[in-house]
Amino acid sequence: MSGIARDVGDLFHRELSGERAQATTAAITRFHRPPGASGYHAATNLVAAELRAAGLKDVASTAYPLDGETVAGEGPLPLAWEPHGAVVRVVSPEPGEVVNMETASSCLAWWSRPTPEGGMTAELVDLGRGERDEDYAGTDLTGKIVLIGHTERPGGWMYAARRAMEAGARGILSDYLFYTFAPDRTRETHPEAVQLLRLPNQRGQFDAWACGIAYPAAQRLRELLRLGPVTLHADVRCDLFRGHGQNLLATIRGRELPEESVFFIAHCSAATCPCANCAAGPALMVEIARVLHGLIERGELKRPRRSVKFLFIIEGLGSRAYIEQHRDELDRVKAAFCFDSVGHDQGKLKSVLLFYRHPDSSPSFINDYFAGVMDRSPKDGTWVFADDADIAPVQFTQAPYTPWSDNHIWAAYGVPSPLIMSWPDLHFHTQFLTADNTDPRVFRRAGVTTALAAYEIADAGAADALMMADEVAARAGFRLAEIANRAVHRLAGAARVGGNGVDATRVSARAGRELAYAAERDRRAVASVRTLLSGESVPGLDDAIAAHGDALHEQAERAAARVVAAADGWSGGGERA
Amino acid sequence: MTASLQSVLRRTHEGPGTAVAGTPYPELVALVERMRAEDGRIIFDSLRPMGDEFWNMIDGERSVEQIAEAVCLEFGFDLPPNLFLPLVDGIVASGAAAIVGAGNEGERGT
Repeated sequence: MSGIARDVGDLFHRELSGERAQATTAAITRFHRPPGASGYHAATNLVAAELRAAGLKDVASTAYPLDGETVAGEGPLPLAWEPHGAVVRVVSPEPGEVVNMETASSCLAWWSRPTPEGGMTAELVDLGRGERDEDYAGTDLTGKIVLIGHTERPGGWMYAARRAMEAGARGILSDYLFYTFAPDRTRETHPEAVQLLRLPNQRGQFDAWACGIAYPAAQRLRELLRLGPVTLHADVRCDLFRGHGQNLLATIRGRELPEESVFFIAHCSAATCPCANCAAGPALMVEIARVLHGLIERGELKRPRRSVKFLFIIEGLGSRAYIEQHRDELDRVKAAFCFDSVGHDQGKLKSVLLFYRHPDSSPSFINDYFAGVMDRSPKDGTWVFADDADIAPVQFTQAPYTPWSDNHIWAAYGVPSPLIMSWPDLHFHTQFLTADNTDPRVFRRAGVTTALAAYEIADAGAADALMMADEVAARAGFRLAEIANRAVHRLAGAARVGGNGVDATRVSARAGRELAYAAERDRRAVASVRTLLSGESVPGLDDAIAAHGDALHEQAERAAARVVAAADGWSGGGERA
Repeated sequence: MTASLQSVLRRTHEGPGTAVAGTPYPELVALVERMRAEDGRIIFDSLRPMGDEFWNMIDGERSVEQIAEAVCLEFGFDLPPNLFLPLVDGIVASGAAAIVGAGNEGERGT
């Protein structure tokens, strides 16, 4: 590619540095960043300094309490928490170390309470998975340390931990590993991974601590328990305290409608240390802000009509606090791009970069519009016979709405809120997720695509809204055809293997419902481009939206009829009727 | 009041929430087993997006059956709507949602 930009996408592709985002990620991962901890504040301050160094002037922080009492959104905000160290050892029968935060930085569970000065010594009790009443029957857990075994259900950890604490347990060890996937991330194939756990003790109601431990350590404890009583010594140092969070907001002011905005949102907090997945989000946002600000200031890019805002928060809590303080602003937020693991090395971490769609509960243009940007944004590979950046070495694809991060909070208020994140994740929230597991090419792909989408939405006017309506309708129409094709192929495929228990009538009925649902959802998604008009009158837009809606419903009916005809003619693997 | 498929719900607070919040964990585990018998792609964590979206779709107009159907179509699952009734009973009992229409006179399904 030459250095002359043909359009906005080329500009971002030329300017945005994945290496710079990766370096910022590495800097952030130096800090242990639970809510309210000194490391979290240091990471946020580092981000603020980088934004200012990049020339952004409008950078401001707003504090909110983390006191276990102040209500924001769905309930009270938790206490702040800071880890300092944790060592658990077997005292008898065979002395040895179980876990140590110095070598497994992820081991100490959030909202643990410290042990007394000098540590505590207590008997270990194996609760199995801790999911059944029988696991607790006949055992006095008061003051003891319990071992809770891994299941495939992350919710099982919270349930068992709460029950154990309610039964008086003072300490908890667990070899839980969340979100396993074979063959790479299972308890057996990733044995030394120590999962970051969150203790259901956000308001400090229990005097207890918890540590994740490696699988071999847990197995050794189980073996020892089979032979007789096991005594442990634990020295847990941490603070559970009334502190505060900060919402750091950087704004690039819009030229015509500055009160309207497009948001980027990521968290400077992190499940554990180093936690490069979380750090990647704010790091890429800093890079996007630097590029966008620089291009505008140098006059290479027109200032967008609306403001672009970069919100750096504690995951979940910051959004709740921000919305509590700015409830009346939400109607003017045209989209919020939420970032999580936007830089994962796809080979090392077995990952794919994903665009998690905004949910159907508030149909939006954002999903199909962004899919279009993914297609047309510049990439890092070229066709062998042309100098054109149209082949993507980085896998970047779509997935359904997934309430992983702050996207679910903004989406619940109807703000179009896609989440950009990598998944699967070999080292998700374990001690192994270091910054050298990120890849500048992934940062660049995520950054160029979202920066382009955000800029276009921020600058969108009437003609753009009409164009977006056309694009959403075109993709919706193709999707209807796909639904029908999938049903017809399912029948044909089943017939080739002798029917395989498929009920053709049921397949047909399901496809019919799916088509009707998709047509109505996408009719509303097309109509949502009106939110970009900001009171402008656009001749022909309402007619175009209505025509698109009618066409989608008509196409759905025709597609459903095609599936019904295929089902009627289906003979379950025998002769066609 | 026990919910039916025809019940219409209203949320008692705006913003984020989940339809699984009022149901104890052991009951969720058992419910997932029943769901998995109907659609083998269901895993425990499927409840997370489904619960989220069920909550988001509560609007004081759509019935439980309509929301359950929409949630299944959004995520590509094939479940009878009555499997969502225990979740509805849970959020109603917890006070997070209230039944505002059709009451408990409707069909609970099989």
